[in-house]
Formats: sequence, structure tokens, C-alpha cells
Amino acid sequence: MGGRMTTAPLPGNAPIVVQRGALALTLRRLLRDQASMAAVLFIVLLVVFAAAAPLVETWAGHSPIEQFRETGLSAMGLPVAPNGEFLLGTDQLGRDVLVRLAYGARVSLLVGVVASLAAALIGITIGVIAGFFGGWIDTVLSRTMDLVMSVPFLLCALALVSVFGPSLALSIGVIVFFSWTTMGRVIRGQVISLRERDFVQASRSLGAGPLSIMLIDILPNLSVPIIVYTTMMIPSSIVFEATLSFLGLGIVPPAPSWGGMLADAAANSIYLVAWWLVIVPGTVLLLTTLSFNILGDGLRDALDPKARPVRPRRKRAKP
Amino acid sequence: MPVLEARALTVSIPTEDGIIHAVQNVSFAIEAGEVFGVAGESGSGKSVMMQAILGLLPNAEISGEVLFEGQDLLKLPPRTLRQMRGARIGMIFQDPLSSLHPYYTIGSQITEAIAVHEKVSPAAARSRAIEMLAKVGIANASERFDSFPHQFSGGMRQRVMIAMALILNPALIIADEPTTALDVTVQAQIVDLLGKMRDEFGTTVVMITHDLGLLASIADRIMVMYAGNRMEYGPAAPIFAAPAHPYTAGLLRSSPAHYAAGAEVIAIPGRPPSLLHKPAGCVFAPRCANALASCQTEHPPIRRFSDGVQTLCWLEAGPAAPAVRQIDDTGRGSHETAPVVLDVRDVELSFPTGGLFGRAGKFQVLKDINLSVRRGETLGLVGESGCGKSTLARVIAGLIAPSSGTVLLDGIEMSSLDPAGWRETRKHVQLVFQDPFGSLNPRRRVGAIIGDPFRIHGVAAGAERKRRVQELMELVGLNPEHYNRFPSEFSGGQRQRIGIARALALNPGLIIFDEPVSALDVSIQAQILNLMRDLQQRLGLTYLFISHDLAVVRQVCDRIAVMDKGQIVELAAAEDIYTRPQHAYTRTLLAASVVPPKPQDSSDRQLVETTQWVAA
Repeated sequence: MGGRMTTAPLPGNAPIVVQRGALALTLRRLLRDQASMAAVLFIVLLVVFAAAAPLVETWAGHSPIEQFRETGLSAMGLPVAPNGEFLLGTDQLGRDVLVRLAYGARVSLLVGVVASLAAALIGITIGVIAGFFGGWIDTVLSRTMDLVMSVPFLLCALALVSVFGPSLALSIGVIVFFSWTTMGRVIRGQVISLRERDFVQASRSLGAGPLSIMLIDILPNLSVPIIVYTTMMIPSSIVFEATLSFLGLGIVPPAPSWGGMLADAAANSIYLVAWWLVIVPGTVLLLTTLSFNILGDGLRDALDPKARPVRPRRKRAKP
Repeated sequence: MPVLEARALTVSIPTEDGIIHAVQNVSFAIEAGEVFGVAGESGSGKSVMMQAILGLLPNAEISGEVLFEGQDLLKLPPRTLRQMRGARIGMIFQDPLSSLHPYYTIGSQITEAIAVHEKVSPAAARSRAIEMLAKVGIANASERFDSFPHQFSGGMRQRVMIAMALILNPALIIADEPTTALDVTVQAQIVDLLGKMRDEFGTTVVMITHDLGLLASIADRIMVMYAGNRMEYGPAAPIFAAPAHPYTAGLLRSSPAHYAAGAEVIAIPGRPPSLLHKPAGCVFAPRCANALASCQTEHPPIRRFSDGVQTLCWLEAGPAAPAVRQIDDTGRGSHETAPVVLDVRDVELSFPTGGLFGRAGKFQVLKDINLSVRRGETLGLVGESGCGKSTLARVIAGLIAPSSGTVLLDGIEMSSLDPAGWRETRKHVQLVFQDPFGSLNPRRRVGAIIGDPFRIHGVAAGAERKRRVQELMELVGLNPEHYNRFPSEFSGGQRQRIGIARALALNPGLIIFDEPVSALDVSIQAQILNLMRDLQQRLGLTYLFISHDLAVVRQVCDRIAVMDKGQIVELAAAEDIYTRPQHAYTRTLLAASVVPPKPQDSSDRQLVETTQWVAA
């Protein structure tokens, strides 16, 4: 999908050709999609919130791991509801939920983005190799993907954590290991159809080697699925990380993470008296995954407009 | 009373880039029982017009009137229109494979069409369907009734489509490019069948096609469209004898079928305009050899002539004949002493079939191929789809290894090479592909595509590469300033020029053209053929030219090899193939090719009336 041409009539007879690049066209379509723009807005706000976590900490005057037994807990030792001092209330140990949410966002975004990029890289490499070479290479790589897909990830994660102990690096590793296969399969399918296209034949007949064909001819034509599936992989990685932390297999307490915060809320059924401990991290987690998914969908529509008919806009005046 | 009459029909389709003015103020009347031809190149609006009439374009803005049996189709509610489609207006599409459902038998698809519109018992519907299948020439119709579409050949499927369109005895049948996807020999049969059905059932047939030759053999009246405008309209015979519009004349002249030794095909220069822009003057003016000053600024009027022909043109008499460019044709056919560039000896190619559970066998694709091409010569390779001609091209190009036999290029045997040696032979042979859209990487810039041979072989880099790429672009008639554009910004003909430039880059000894013009419009085909001839004379190139179209091959080739079922059945000088075909298959091919009549330069028609064209 290169540029398109648009002609605009001039006072004279000659039409001038306005060339819009693929990027400009994609942006135009994306900007018109209100759901995507709302998702982008939320993601930007979340990134700012995460990046400004130390500022939030300074502004609130509460460290994310400090326990405020005097002000943050009621006389009965229960967490206090949202108030002037603790905007989003405190948890069962008297820690500020707002500050913990900000630091938790850092973990979620870091894991989401890093794990997705790493998984995408592995998926693309394996997918392109399997699709391009075919034959026994394809068989081995495809069966490997099937194998990875059929490993029960929670059991595997439990086993790994009990051996190595929970850590951020280990969570990312587990997430990457279990999520590259989707990308790998999609890319392999695309490469198999691209491989038969005439322009690849043309390159072959010019004497181009396999590496040159893969990198120069095939890879640029995969940009749409790569962008879309990487974006779609971010929310599942975030949920994946939250799941691991919820089970105590991810981020080591007392460092805050959204999954860990939800786990704390579930422990001893504290959520029965403190609703904000579930609602606040739960809502943010939900909105984050929703936003990335909507953005991924919007990107797919914007990058591949053929999938959707152009709606008639009758009100527009004729040029 | 006409069966179908359109008055000032205008169709606009809103898109992201703006409004496409697909059909502009077109009027026509189709009389009962005639074959009405709608001709035009791709993008001329001919198919869009018919789809709009039938209510198949929900997004389009349509104005004007379309009267069918006294009712205005454009004002009918969708439900009524749906009942009319199929029952009163039958449709036949281009690709019989994709318009038949692969999971139902052809019989059930035909009886379903009956059941949708009429209340009949299944048995009665079945017997009617079988009767109709027999009439369209399906042998053993009662047995074939329960066959699936994939069990029929392309031509047979199109017969089934015709049976399905005729089964409810509609007043009108619209056939949109009914023969384009078929082989030449089958094409002629389908056209005959349509004519026969018209005679037998009295059905009116609208035939939409890009092929004027086809219309000349069957149509009673025709309409020629260009960029959404009705350029010429009237009885077929006087139009084909002496076209009144320069565009029709140009189309007829640019057909490579009008071969005359020593004369270049007269191409229509330029390329079709963008439909987003409505010019003040005539849409054809920029490409017209007869353009007057008023053509650029004022919309042409409708001229009506004494023989019933109408044009949208400022010319009051017919177009003047352009001067024929003479070409040096003396070298043609005299290459006996030149060195042999390509030598193919006893090449066979077969694929194993079956195996494991079935009986293992061999599928023979190429059998006993022997041919040689000398320097400066053009060898044509002709045959119908599936005869193995493209496979042979790939074997010669080294992309597929033959099962046995040898391919010698400049004396080097292809199959015995290591990867480095194979890469070296790329300088000896290059391919130009059929599909100008698929053979260029859509994600790379034209400069990078044409520069690929330099990059891969490490010949030139940086500014030097850019300079050589721009020289190549100049050579094939592209604007070197378009170096940084993407392939999608070029038209089909220009893309084919890009493909040719890429093939020329390494200055190869042999260039294989695999159907280089069959995906292009007629007016563009001639441009590319002339370019190929021009390059050959200037650079002394050697061509292997593969095509299904005998007329095109005759135009460019010194010798022709006719292929059938993986074998070369006849190999002789081009003129001998035409004048003295030896093999029965060659004669069948020759007989089946329809050739548009060569237009006369003058006519005794008189201008009767001039009406102002009114913009919708």
C-alpha cells in the first residue's frame, strides 16, 4: 500500500496531483476513528501517570511502600476510604493506593511493551524462516509452535518460580515464551502467500539470495500484521503479568503491581469492607487492556482500508 | 419500445480520495432481441453502469432514468428490484469459477434460481434445468446435473452460467466480460452460443467487453465508453467500418491484429484520466490526435449522423487517419548466422502424483522440448492456458529445474551451476512478468525496484546507481523524476515499463516476456509492443515472447512455436504459421481468434443534428 493519488481541479484545465503517502492516509483514517482516539488518549494519560510516579509520590507525600498506621488505617485497623489525604484510599497495611497505582502502572507498561516486542521479534523471525523455507524447516518450527501452545502456562510458571524464585525478569521471560507463537503462526501464513508472489519470483530471477528476499522483499510487506499483532499482544501481556502477580509468582512484594494489589484485596476478603481496593486497580487494568485492544483494531482498519467499505457521506458538497 | 432505456444516467461513487465520476450523463436504448455491445477499457465505467442499473452499488449516487419494461429501475424499492434480477434480467459474470458456489451441484444451483422466483415442483424444476443444460451444449445433461462446478472446465462452467441466466426466460441478459477468463478457442464457442440463444429465445443480450473484435462478430449496435462518457453510439456495422469518434478509431487501429510488414502499430498516446477530476473540455482531448482548440476548453456536443451513429465530439466529419510510422523491418527473420543465445535440448518436466495410497504416477508438464534462439531474434511461444508455456519460461530462466534435458544459455548449462555461478547467469537471462501489479514489490520505491539488479550484483551504488536507474527510466519512457514513487502511483502500462527497465538493467542476452501485455488495455498494449520493438532495434536484444494471443505474437515475432499439452506442435517462421499452418491445433487457434475489422479512413455519412451536452 503505497501512496494514493488525489486530483483537485484547478481554475485552469490541468489537475494537480496531491500525493498522500501511506503514513498520512493511515493517520487520516485513524484520526477519524473516535474509539481509537479515545484509546490513544487513555494510553497517553497512563504513560504520563506512570512516568510521573515519583512526582505523584512527592505530591502526595507518601512512599508506595510506606505503611501509614496512624492516618492510613482506621481505629479498628481497617483501610480508610478515599479522602482528602488519600485520594484513592489506603490498603490493608495503610499504604496509599494512588501512589501504588502509579508505580504499578510502570510495571504493567514495562512488562507489556518489553514482553510484546521481544515476543514479536521471536515470532517474526521464526515465522518468516518457517514460511520462507518450507519443507522440513517449516515442519520442525511449526510443530515447535504447536508444542509451546499446548504447554499449560500456569503449571510451567509455578514450576519455574519455585525453582528460580519470583522476579520481574522471570515474568517477562515466561510471558515471552508463551506469547510468540500467535505472531509466529500469523507471519508464517502471510509469508507462505507472499513467497509465491511475482515480485519475489522477480527478485529470485535477479539472483537475490534468501536473506535479501526475506529482509528486503518480504519483511516490508508484513508491516501491517506486525504492527497490529504487536499492539494486540501488549494487553494480553499486561493481563498475563497481572495474573502472575496475583498468584504471587510475578513482582516481589512490597513492590507494587496491579496484580499484586488485586491479590492483596482478595486476601482475607478485605474487599468486603474496602471496595476501592478491587475497583481502582481492576478498572485501570480493564481500561488499559480495552484501550490497547481498541487501538489494535483501529490500526488494522486504518492500515488495511480494503477490509471495510467506504461509507457514503452524502452531505459533503461536491468539489 | 426499447427493452432497456437509460436517460442521462450519472453515477458517482464517493471514496476516501474524493468522488469518482464513474458514469457521466449516458443515454442509450436497447431494442428487443438485439445484441447490444458496451465497449471500453478498464475504468471506463461500463461495468459500474450496469451494476448501478441493477441496484448492485448501494454506495453510489445515481441520477437519471433507467426504464425497463416501462418501469424506472432507479425508483423501484430494493425488494421489487431483487425479484426482477434473475427473473426478468439475467446476469453472466466474467469468472465462471467464482460465480458458481463450489459446495452445491450445478443442478441444485439452477433449480434454486427457479424456486426463488416461481412455485414449481422439484421434479418439474429438474426437468426444466436438464432441458436448458442440454440446450447450452452440456453433453449428458441429466447425468451432469448432479456434478459440482469443479468437475467442469472453464468453458463448460460458463455454459452453466448461461443456462442459469436463461432458465427463467428473462427479457434481458447482461453479460459482463463473459469470455475474458476463457481460452481463445472456447471464447468463440461461448460467443456463438450467446448468439444462438438470442435467436432461439428472443432474449436481448447486453455484452460488456473490452474486446472490440468480439463485438464486431456479434453485436447489432454498440456503445463505446471512455472515462465514464459515451463516446460513440449506434449501429455496429457503420461504426466498425468507419468510426466517427477518434477514440474508437484509435482503439481499432491499435489492435495488433492489423499487422502490416514494416508498419508500427498506431498506439493511442498517454493514459486514461483520473475519474476524480471532471475536465472542462473533452475527456479524451489530451490523448486525441485530432484535437481542436475547443476540445480543451469546452465540453463536446452530441453529433448525430445520417447512418444513426452518434458521437460526443467536436469533429463534424470522422477522424483523420494518422500517418503510419514506418519501421526498419529488413532484419526480420534473417538471423540464421547470428550466434545462438538460448539452446533448449530435450527438456522434460514431470511431477510425481499419487503415491502412498494411490497408484504413483507422473504428471508430464513438458515433453521433449527443443528450441533455440539466435541473437537479435524474437521467438514467440503460443498456446492456451495450461499448455506449459509459462512453466517452460521458468525452466529457461532457471527458476524450475527440468526433470531431464539441458538448457544452454550462451553456451553455459544452467542445471550444473553452483549458487554463485547461477547468480552469474542472471546477467544472461531476465524475465518480464504478466501481472504488472504483482511483479513489483508494493512496499518499495520505483528507484529501488529498478536498482535491485545493481544492488544484488553489486554493480553500482549510491549516486552512480541512481544515475543508471534514471537512464533506464528514460530509456523505457518513464519520467526519471518519478524515481521516489511507489508502484501503486503508476498505471498498468507504466508498471510494465518499470518491469522492462528492471529486466534491462544487467543488459541480459535474453529477455523472456511472459504475457507482457495481456493484463493491459488495448490502447496501452500497442505502446508497450512498440517500446519492445524499439528497444530491440536500439540495443540488439533477444526476446522469448510468450502469449496466448496469436495477433500480438505475429506483430513482434520472427519465429513462432505453438505449444499444446506440454509439447511444441509446430515451430516455423511467423508468416508461415499464418499463411501455411501445418498442424491441426495451429489451424484451430488461428480460426478461433477474432479480429476487429480494420477501419476505413473515410465514410459518406453526413452530420444530421448537433445537441448540446448538458452536465448532470
